Amino acid sequence: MTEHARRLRIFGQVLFILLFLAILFWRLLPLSPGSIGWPGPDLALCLTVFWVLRRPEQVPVLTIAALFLIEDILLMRPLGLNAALVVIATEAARKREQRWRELPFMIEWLRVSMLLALMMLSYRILLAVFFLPLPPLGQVILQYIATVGSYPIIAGLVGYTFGLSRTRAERDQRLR
Amino acid sequence: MARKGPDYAAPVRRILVSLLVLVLLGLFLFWQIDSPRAERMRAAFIDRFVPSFDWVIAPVTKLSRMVAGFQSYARLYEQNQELRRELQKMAAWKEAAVQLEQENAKLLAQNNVRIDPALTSVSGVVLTDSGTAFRQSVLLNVGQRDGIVDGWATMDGLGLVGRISGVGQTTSRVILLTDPSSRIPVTIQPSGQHALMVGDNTTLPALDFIESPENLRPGDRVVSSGDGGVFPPGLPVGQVALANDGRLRVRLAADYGRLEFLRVLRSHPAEQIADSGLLIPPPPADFIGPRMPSVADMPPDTEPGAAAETGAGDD
Repeated sequence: MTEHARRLRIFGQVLFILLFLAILFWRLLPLSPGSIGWPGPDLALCLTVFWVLRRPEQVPVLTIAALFLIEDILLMRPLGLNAALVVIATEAARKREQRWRELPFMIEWLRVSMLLALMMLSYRILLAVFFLPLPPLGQVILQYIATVGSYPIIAGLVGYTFGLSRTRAERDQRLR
Repeated sequence: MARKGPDYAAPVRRILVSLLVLVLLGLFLFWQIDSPRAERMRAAFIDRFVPSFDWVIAPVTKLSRMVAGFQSYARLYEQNQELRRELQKMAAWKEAAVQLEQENAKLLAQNNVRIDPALTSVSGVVLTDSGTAFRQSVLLNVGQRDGIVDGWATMDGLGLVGRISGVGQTTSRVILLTDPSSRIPVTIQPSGQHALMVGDNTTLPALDFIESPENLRPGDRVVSSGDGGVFPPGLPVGQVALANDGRLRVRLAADYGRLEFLRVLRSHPAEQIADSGLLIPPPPADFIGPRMPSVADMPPDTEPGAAAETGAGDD
């Protein structure tokens, strides 16, 4: 049983890493380089928060830190700042994951959106404190709305495709 | 398996997580303090990993562009008509261009003008996009290996695109003119006024520090001015446009949105003459030179050789 659980955990972790890298890769594709579009949702962040809330044991904190550090490096952001904030946020979510599990999805969504808002606010405050150039507020708010809006879509898609639904989570918990 | 047990696993984990956060924040502080070194490390990392994904990036990009191309088949007929009309207009323009070219060649020959021979270029292919909507940059597949240097100007076929910022061994990053951190000194052509073109993450960069804005009209040509040694002067940038917010902005000439091949201009800095004394180097002292202090002033046995040679030179 333990062997099975371990294999499941490693499989889930590899799956998460692959999905994360695929999203990052998609963002870097030069489909129309130079054109300025709408700031789309931060899908990688959505995916991470979702996975932490469903299968916390499959996303160790080191994996999250490494992946978001890579994202910081590739997207020309201040090194390490966003990674540190994501680690703090996912730890907060991880701690509350057991309590949130019984609640309906709408409440989870609401709490996730509050968490994301806090993250973006603290990121902006830290940028301002260190006198770094701030991205325009309107675009940041658009991105926040898009990210929050895409959370249920990610949850539905990933949850359905890879069987990360809540019921399964509880069943696994009972089995263990 | 790390079960959520009652024992000391949780506190230890908490300490380790806070350590991890501290390490990440330390990295951020390092980036803040020694930014050039951190940026070089970033360039080296990108240089190490991104080109190895080229074999995936290229086909996927091609495929999605082909899909976009197929979509345009829907309006094939209209496009055909449009092209025909434009072709007719172009015929007239071509005649004008040929005449102008002849005139230009004649004038150049009369003046014996030499176009700057140092301005050669290296062409590169766009590897990746910036990946966020908040920064505007692209990664090229040419780098230190091809002699690229930080700060060189980059153009597509039509106009200025941006500036090299960050060079790896085989890749280099181009900060586009629309990036919020881009500041380029420009000249606005018929009136010859200087201004600063400031990128602000919109498709039309704004013009700042204009001497007398009333002399500008939408449609005026904007070229790089070469002030401050950032860019070679006279590269086409775009046209002045009046935006909805009443600010004067620049409609860029480069085909933004379809940047595929870019040319990096090898601009060698003009030779700086910092010290006028160095212009005519002083002749070697022990040959036909200015007089050494006379033998009587010197103690007789300090430099017998030099004294003897000076004596010989005097004869």
